[in-house]
Amino acid sequence: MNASASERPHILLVDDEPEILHSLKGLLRREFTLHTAETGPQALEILRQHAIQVIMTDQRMPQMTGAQLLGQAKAISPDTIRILFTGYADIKAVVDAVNQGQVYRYLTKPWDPDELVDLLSSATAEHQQRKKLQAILETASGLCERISNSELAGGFREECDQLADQIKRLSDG
Amino acid sequence: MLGDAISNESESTIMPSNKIPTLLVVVVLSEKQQWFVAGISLVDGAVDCLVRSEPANLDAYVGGDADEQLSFLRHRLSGAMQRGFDRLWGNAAKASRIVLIADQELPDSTPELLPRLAEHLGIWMTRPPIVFFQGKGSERIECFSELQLLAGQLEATEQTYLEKQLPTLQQKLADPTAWEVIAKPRDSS
Repeated sequence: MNASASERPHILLVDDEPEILHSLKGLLRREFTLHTAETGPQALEILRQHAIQVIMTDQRMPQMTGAQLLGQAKAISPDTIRILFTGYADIKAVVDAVNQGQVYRYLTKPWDPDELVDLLSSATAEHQQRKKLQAILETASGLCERISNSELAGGFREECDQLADQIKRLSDG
Repeated sequence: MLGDAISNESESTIMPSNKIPTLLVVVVLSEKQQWFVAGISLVDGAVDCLVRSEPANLDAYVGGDADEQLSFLRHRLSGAMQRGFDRLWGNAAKASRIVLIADQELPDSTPELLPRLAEHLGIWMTRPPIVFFQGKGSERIECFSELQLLAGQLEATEQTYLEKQLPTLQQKLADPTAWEVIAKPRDSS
């Protein structure tokens, strides 16, 4: 990949162990713009301040678990792709997080560094696709509304309204 | 795609790599409650001392119930393995199998703790797969025939390299300067 610094996707890494963050920075800094946080509250603050494409968090942290963090992250930045990782198989946390739609992927330590880079690249590509889809939906929604409000709608006004409504629901996620 | 819960996949899905295939060996010294992570090259058998903890790194399990002890140990040791993976990556090597050796039973635990830990890791850590051994004496891991297999299976080549290099690894354990030291996490705990 090796994009220029301004083009690199923004990734937020969250782990209460600074040394793990340090390792991740060494691994990922060439391909991504990295933000790091050692606690859930710190991570939420970064999410409020920056356009983050992917957040990747440890599950087991003091103050706030990774699943709890991702739940709040979803509310602050719904488009951000969410990845949860943990060094132990806390099945309940995983099931809860997945069922609540909070995670794109769940990873267990130890992960293969090369595969992590691939995963994050896929996640940022997914984020880009979602943004494109979002833009298309917004355009289509506006077009439907304009047609519906014009003489062009003719006998299809009701169908246009229904379509606009469906697009809006899709767009709102 | 949302909500795909993936963990480790089967051994057969490991992608080919141009990196040096390596055994990632994690040694747990039970009395000291300390871990060491080394690589043993499957090309030439070279032993690479990677990282170690300070003594008492594992002491947070003491006093917990059996499930808490298991949860803590698998979390902490997974972190140790992750660091080993990261260091191998920096050396253009790649773990093709994890070998975990606990020199003996952990103090203040039941005899079931290590077998349960081995069973759990054997189920969850399949990419690469793990082999778990328990030794018979304090800080003695040099003799392969004294190690009791708790989970997993080595291939013949892997066993040859491991058996040959255990005495070297044993010597390295006594040299604290040979390893990068990992600080104990602040919460721990």
